[in-house]
This record gives sequence, C-alpha cells and structure tokens, in this order.
Amino acid sequence: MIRQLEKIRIGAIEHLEFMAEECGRRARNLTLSNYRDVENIHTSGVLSLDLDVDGRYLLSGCSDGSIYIHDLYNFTGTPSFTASAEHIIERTHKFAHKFSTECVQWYPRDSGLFVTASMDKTIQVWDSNYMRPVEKVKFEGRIFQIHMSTNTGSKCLIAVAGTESIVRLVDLKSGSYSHELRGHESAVLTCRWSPNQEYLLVTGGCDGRIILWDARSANTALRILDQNNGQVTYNNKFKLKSHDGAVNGLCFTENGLYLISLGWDAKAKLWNMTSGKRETVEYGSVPSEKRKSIQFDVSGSSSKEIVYIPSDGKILVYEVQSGQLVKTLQGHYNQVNSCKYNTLYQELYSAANDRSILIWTPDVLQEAAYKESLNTQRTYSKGTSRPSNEVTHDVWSSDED
Amino acid sequence: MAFSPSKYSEDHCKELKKLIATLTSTGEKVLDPPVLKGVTKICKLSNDYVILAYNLLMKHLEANHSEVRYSSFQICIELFKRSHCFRELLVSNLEKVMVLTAETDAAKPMPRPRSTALSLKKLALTTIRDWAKNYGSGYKKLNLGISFLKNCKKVDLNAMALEEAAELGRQNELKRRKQRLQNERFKKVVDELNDKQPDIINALTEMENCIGLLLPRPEDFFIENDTDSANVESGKEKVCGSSANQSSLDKTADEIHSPKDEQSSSSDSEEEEENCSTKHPIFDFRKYGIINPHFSITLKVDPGSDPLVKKTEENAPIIDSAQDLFRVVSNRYHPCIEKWETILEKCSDLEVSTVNEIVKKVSDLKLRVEMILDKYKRLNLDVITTKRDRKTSDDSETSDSDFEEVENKEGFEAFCKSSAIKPTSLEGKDKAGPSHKNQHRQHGPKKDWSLVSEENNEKDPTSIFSTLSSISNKTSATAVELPMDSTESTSPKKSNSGDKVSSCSMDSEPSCSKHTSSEDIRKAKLLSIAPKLPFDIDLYHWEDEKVEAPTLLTVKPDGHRFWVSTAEERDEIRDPDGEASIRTRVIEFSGNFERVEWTCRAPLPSGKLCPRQDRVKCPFHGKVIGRDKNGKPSSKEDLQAEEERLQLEKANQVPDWQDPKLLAELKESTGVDLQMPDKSKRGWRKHPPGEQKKYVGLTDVKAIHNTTYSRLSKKVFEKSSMRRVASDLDKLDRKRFRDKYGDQFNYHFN
Repeated sequence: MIRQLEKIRIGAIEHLEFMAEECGRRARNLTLSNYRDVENIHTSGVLSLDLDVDGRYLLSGCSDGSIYIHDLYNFTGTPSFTASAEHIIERTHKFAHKFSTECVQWYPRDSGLFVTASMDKTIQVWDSNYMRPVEKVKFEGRIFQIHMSTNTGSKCLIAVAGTESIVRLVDLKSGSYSHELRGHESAVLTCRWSPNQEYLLVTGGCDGRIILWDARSANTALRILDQNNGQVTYNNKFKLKSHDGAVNGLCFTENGLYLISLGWDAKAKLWNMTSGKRETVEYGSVPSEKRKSIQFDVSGSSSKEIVYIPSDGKILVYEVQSGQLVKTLQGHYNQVNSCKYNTLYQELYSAANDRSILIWTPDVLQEAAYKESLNTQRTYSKGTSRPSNEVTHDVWSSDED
Repeated sequence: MAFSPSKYSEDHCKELKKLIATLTSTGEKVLDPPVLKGVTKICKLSNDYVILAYNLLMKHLEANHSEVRYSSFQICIELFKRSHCFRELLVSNLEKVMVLTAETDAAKPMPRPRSTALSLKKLALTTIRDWAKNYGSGYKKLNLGISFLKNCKKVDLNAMALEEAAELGRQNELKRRKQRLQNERFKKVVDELNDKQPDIINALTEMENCIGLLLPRPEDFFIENDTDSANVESGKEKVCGSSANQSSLDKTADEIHSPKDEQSSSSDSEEEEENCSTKHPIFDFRKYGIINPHFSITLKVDPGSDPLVKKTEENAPIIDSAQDLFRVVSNRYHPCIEKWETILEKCSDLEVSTVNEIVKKVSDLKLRVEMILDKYKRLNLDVITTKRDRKTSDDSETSDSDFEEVENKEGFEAFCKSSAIKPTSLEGKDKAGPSHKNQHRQHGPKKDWSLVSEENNEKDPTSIFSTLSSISNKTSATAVELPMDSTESTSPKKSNSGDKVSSCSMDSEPSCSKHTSSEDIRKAKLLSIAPKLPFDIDLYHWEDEKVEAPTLLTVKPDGHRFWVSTAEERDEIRDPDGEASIRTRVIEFSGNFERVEWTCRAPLPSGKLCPRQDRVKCPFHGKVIGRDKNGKPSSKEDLQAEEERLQLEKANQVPDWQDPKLLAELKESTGVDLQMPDKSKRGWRKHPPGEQKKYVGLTDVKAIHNTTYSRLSKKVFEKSSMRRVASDLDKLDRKRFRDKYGDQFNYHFN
C-alpha cells in the first residue's frame, strides 16, 4: 500500500486505479470483526439486510415480522463498538407485518424512506422519520423479494416477486402497481433491476428460468437466459432453463455488465448482460438449505470483483471473473440469509437464522494495534492480569516431551 | 508454528490414529491418562499432527454412538487446552461440534445410549461456556456461540452455572460435616485411649509375667542355670544312638510336655538319626560320614491335645490369673483396640498433627496384645480350663438335687405313684426294647405315624396322654377294666366309629401304663415280630361297614375355584373308583437298586474302550452290547448295526479340508477364515463365524433394539400379516352384515 501511495505521488498511477486496487485488496481480506458488533436484539432469524446510501443505517427484517434499524457509525472514539438499534418495529407493533419480513430496502436516494415486503402479501412503504408506514400495497400472493432500482435516472419502480407467477411493478408515485410482467410459469423468487440500464429487470423463478424484461414493453420478455447458451435446440420450449432447480438469488456486478445467479442446484452462474450468454466460469458448489430467496452481494468496481455467496452457515468468497474461491467466512451458527457489502468502508454485513448480524472487516492491522494498546494499558494498570493475547498461544505442558 | 516436513512421519500418524481409536472405543467416562499423554505428545511435535488429530476427532465425533462422541469430545477438550491451532480449527467449526455434542439441531438428535448422550450434552455446554469465558477474547466465534446458545437455543448458561455452584456447595458441606464427625470420633478415641492405656499395659505386663513364669523363655533358661542346658546337650548326645529319647527329654525339662513347635527344630537332628538307626540297625551312616539317601522324617504335630503346662498347686494361682487376664484382654481390650483402629483408619486424612502419633500408638498396642494373646494360646491353657469347667459342671449336676421336697398334689398322685411303683416293668420294657427300638431308629424318626407314638408317652407329664390318663383314672369306676382294654388296644374292633381319635388314645393309654410284666414282655416280643403298616385311609375306615364313596368337586370351565355363587351350585361327582378308593391301599414297590456292573466298551479313537457305565444305552455309542476284548460286538447282528452306525458317523464328519485345526492354522497365517457356516444351526446366515465384536468397551446400541417385544412386533405388524388379518376381519364383518341385513333391499347391494 505504501508503494502504491508512492506511485500516486510520483504520478505513476491514477487515484481511481489506486482506490480500486486498494478496495479490491480489502474486499478479499475480510475477517470477523473483533471489536465491532451489531447489537443482538433480533427476536428471530434475520432474513434481509439493507444499507442506506450513506452506509450508516443498517435495515434488517426478521422472520417474525419485526424490523430493525441499527446505527453503524461509531462516535465512541475507540474501535470497540456495538452498533445499537435506532428503531425497532416489534412484531406486536400495530403497523408491523403479520408474518415474516422477507425483504427490506432503503430508498436509493436517502434514508427518509424504506420499503418492506412480507409473507402477509403486503408491501409497506415506511417513513423512517416517523417510523410509520405511509403506503401499504396488497397483493394476491405472498411476496419473496422486492427491488427498487438504484439507478439514478430510474423512475423508482418497485419490482415484486412472489408466489404469483406474475411480476408486478409498483410505482411509488401512485402507490399502486402499474405493470404486470407475465412470463414465469410458477412462483418468482427473486428480482433485480440493472444498475446501469434503468429499464432492465431480471427475475428468477421456481421454473428455473431467469427472464430479462424491459419495463417499457411489458407484454413480452426480452430474453430467457439459457444455461446451454443456445447450443441445444429445444423442441419443447419449456425445457429452456437457466438453472436445473429454481433460481433463488440474483445479483448484478456493480457496473451492471454481469449477472450472478444462484439456484437450488447448488450452483452459481455468471451471465454476460451484453450478450445474454452464460460465461464459462465455474464456481464451486454452493449448497444451501434455503429455498426462498437469498440476498448476496458483489464488491469492487474494477475488473477484480468479488462475490459473497451464503452457503448454509458459511459465506463463500469468490472471484467473479475467475471463479476462484478466495476465502470462506465462518462465524454464523445457522443458515446465512443475506449479505450486504458496504462499498464505502469495504465491510460486509451478514444476517443469519441464528438471530445475529455479523460485521466482517478488513481492518485486521488496526484491530491488532488496538489490541496491543489495550494490552499495554492493562499491564500498566494491572501488572498481574494476563494479557489477552496469551489466550491464543499454545500451552503445551513440559511433561509431554 | 511453521510447517516442518522433517518431523512429519507416517509412523506418528499411524500411532496417533491408533491412540485416538483406542481412546474413543473404550466406552469409559474417563480417558486413560497414558494413552492421552501419547496423543498430546505426538500433537506437540507439530501442528500438522494437530490438524490430523482434529480431522480424526471430527470423524469420531460424527460416530453413531454417544460413548465414542463423549470420549472424542474429551480429547478435544484436552487438545483445546493446549494448542492454538486446534482451537482455531475447532472454533471455526463450532456450529457442527455443537450439533454433534450439544444437540443444537433438533433434526439431528444424538445417538444412543441416551444417558451418555445427555451427559455429553451437559459436558459440551459447560465446556463451551468455560471456553468462551477463558478464550473468548481471542476467539470471537466462541462468544458468538454463547450468544447463539443463549438466544436461539434458549440454553440457560447462568442457571447451569448456578446449578454447578449449588452442587459444589453441597459437596463442600458434606465434606465439612464428615470431617467434623471424624474429628469428634478421633477425640473420643484419644480420650478412651488415654483412659484405658495404662490398664491395658498393666494387664499385658501382668500376663507377660505370668507366661514368663509358667514357661520361661529359652534365654532365661540358659542364663540362669547352665547345668540344665548341659543336661540337655548331654541328653542329645546320648540320644544319638539310642531310640528312646523322649523320656529323657521329659526328664530334663520337667514341666515341659513336648512343646512340639519349639522342640521340632532342636529335635530334628535327633529324630533323623533315630530313624536312620531304626532303619539300618547295622550301619550307622553317620559314623562313616555318609548321608543316608533313603531317609524320611515324619513329624506328627498335634497341637491342642495337651496343655504345655501341668497344673500344680504351686502354679495354680498364676495360671488362674493368666486365664483371667486372657479373658479380659481378649474379650475387652482387643476388640476395643480394633475398634479404635478402624475409626482411626477413617480419620487418617484428618488435619490434626497428632493423628499419626495416635495411630502408631494404637497399632503398637495392638501388636503387643496380639503377640501376648498368641503366646497364651500356644500355651494351651484352655484345655485345663475346660477340664476344670467340666468338673465343676459335674459337681453342679450331682449337687443340684437340693430342690425342696414338695407334697404330692391330689390330682397328680396317681401318675406319680404309677411311675414310682413300676420301675420293674419299665426296666423290663427297656430290656426287651433295644431290638425294637433299634429297628425304629433304622427306619428313621418319622417313619410311622401312629396315635400312640413314643414321643407322646403318657409318662411324659407334658403330653396330652398323661392328662387324659389322670382324668380317666378318676372317672373310671374300676381299675380292672383297664387291663382288659389294654389287650384289645391295638385291635380296632371295639372302637366306635364316632370319636375315634379320642377312643383310640383312651384305649392305648392303659396298655402302656398298667400291665403285668410277663404280658408286657410277650407283647413286646410279638410287636417286634409283627409287620407294621402306617396309619392310612383304609385303616381309618376299617370299621365302617357302609362307606359312602367320596365325591369330587369339578372345576368349572371358567377356571375359577372360588368365585362360585352358592355351595349348591357346585356339582359334585362321585369318585369313579367308588367305595374301593377308601378301602384299598396303594403300596408302591420300588425294587432294590442294582449297580451297573458293565461298561460300554465300544472302541474309542484313542484305542481304549469306552469306560461309560450305562444300564441300557451309551449316549455316544448307542445300545450297550456284548463285546469281545477288542471292543468288537460279539454277536453278528450287533456287528452289522455297529458298522452301519460307523458309516453314518463318517458321512456326518467334516471333510479333511475342513479340519478345524488346519483351518485355525490357515486363519492365523493368512487371516482368511475358510470355515464353512454350520447350516444346521439357526441364524448361520446372520452371524458368519469369526465375526467378533469390534469394540468390547462400548455399549451395544443395537442390543437395545433386539428385545422380545421388537422381535414379536416385527412379526405381528408385518405388512402381509396385517393385511391378512384385516382381510379376515373384513370378511367376518361382511358375513355378519349379510346375515343380518342381506334380505333387506337397501342393504342388499352393499
């Protein structure tokens, strides 16, 4: 890093390049944060996570319908910090969802508004200043996932994927759904707006298909992604599939050029969005017990993007372009439901069925330094107490020679 | 730690594997320390071994047996204590470990045995809690695990800690109470000891002195008078040639009566020579310096026959006092000391400085007491005592006739007189009696039951007869009738059918009491000759001219003997034998036992003849038949039958290549079991021979399954049998239905 800094100083590399490189490096070296925690007040498994545009407020939805907002900013002055809950909508709250909150999302522009979707067939739009829903949209079927486009130029349509095979688009301005996208044969588990093309929507369903839509022409789908890249001709058009099982996770890379999909067949697949073809990248097996939608995230804007895929109790870290397993993050005791990457601070937040949200951070050196300072302080204050780093040392007794 | 390939060797890996396997397969709750040490020793060498151990342990943790899991988790605890590497590995996979050991996943319950599973669960939870407490600062995931247990699994770790603390407190309390009790006991013992010690020591020294006086120790002997010892020696020399030495020895030690134990050593040489001199009267081998090879000694040691000390007037008080002291010491002090010792044994872990001292004191005292008691016992003074006791008891017998003479009471005078008057008749009976009595004794005490038994003699004032006789004497008008009765006493003719028992007794009573001696003798003679039958039902009904045949109660088919409404309802059946059943007597005849004098004598493979002595049939060689010297049947038919039998046997025999010895050798050398399964036995298909239990220490989990209930239910609830039963029941139902409603129109088509 110091060499890179020197290079910037002499003008050998550009600032952006340095930033990308450093971010990539940090994104690879995530470990469980020793000193930062998210207050553990969730009453049941955490299903969904979202971070607001400033990277300050962490929104989470629980399987019992409760909603939490944690403040991640640390004003304590020490690295040791527990992010406390700013707002809690308990399950007994009069506006709370009746059933599990399947998906939560901040308004992409500011933190004054957020949207939650639930198994009780409703979407609620909340005013975060008053912590009360300003809009409630009812649906026919239960909802698995919603997504608002993060594209700056978009019209803020909410795509809703649920047990109905129809994907509906809800216009926040009117408070009712404006479009119906018909194309899936069974329940739709996941939906995503493209980050760079404001009208491009991708949905994945239980029929194993990933369908690309143009929101402007609602009558037909743009394309169904084919796992065989069109090399096999199908007599029966229903045999055209993206995954062998249902598709339960979708995520664009930051530039929107690639799409990564997860399916029940324990596979992750990379799709090129410009060609609509499947890339020949093989990720390892990503087995997961979870059948509903999984949220996962991608980091890095440069060529070396990294994807964090939950697989049961672990989070697998892959390089997007090469499919190489970088790391396995182990810390959760149960099924991990959701990952959210913080691009500003290069941190990862993960939520799991064990009712905890963990913070994964690359600041290993910082924490080590902090630990050391703590130890020295402690030895100054109390000479007798054992320094805490001794805990991690080998203790072989001498009689084992 | 850095990777060090030089240290990583296959041998260590194998050994580690073996050690862990042995540790986990014991089924014990506590790990074997030396084996565990072996594991840690190998793991200490390099982190590679730690990783290997971790992988092995994880495999064992997944075993489908709770005891294996328990042991492997214990090893995990040990390694976790020591190795950072192991901690990292284990913590990274803690969720799985928790599922396997603490049953955090309800879908994956722990295997049996259930009790071990529960204790493993407890152990795992407490251990993880302790780990989090001790190592939580270094391993974040441990803390997360604790919060996971708390929040998601609702494990109350605090309650667990409380419970533990309570248990610990209870144990401490128990310990303290025990200690206090022991302390009290100890103090008591010390007090008692201080009280009694002087008495005991006094008694002991007294006793020692008594014994010393009675039987001076050899040292005392020789120091005091040399002449005696010289005498002994001269005696010994004399004895060499002569055969009679015993008397001379007796002379030398006048009060010692061949104290054999002590003497044996000294008299060894003498007796040897004595023997040799008796055996070879001509050659005295000793004179030529030759050791006699044909030489044997027989020493008869006969302790307890005679006391070592004669009781004389001079030593009588000493002996008496010694006996008294012995009694006191052995009855009072010795048990007392033993009691102290047992109490002190329990108090040995007490934190009082004087404990050891006291213990030593008591043990010394005990040693001394036992020594003296032993010495005394060897003196054999008890014989004197018992003799004396016997004498005194005889004295008491002779002298205890100083009862007061009491006047005879009216009612009992007759009895007294009769017994006093007829000593002659009694004598005569006694004289005639022995043969008769002997017969009785041969038959055993309870051979015949008769109303007039010898035990119930009316001379015996405790028996009912005496009372009856006295009453009858009073009531009877004349005493003349009685002798007449007596002649007919055994004949049942006169006795009435009414009150037989009483009449019988009345009759028989005078026969014994009042009789002239001559008749008595004659009768006794006749009785001795006359055959006897035990009293039985036929005699009981001897006089009854008309006897109703007995009836039998039938048992009703419902099988209950008591649950019958009224007595009339019971149907009685006449005995099919009728009257005869109470007129006849069944006397079972069992012949004399006849010894089997012959043996089977069939030729055995060893060349000998079968030595079995069977009456008819030998279990190995069939019917016992006449055979010649070589064991061949003497008759032709038998010979043929024998050949057939042999052929059959040969056919049944295992072929040569299935020789069990050969197979065992082959198995030993090659490890392949070539034995054919014995198809005649049940279950040969399931359990191939040679298959043995792999781990003996572990509880057999499958055995729990294999109960009679499960086996039966397997058969009963089998699908096919269920179907069969169901169809049968359906058929029955349908039939009943058709019979009832078949004629009705609306049910007709059902």
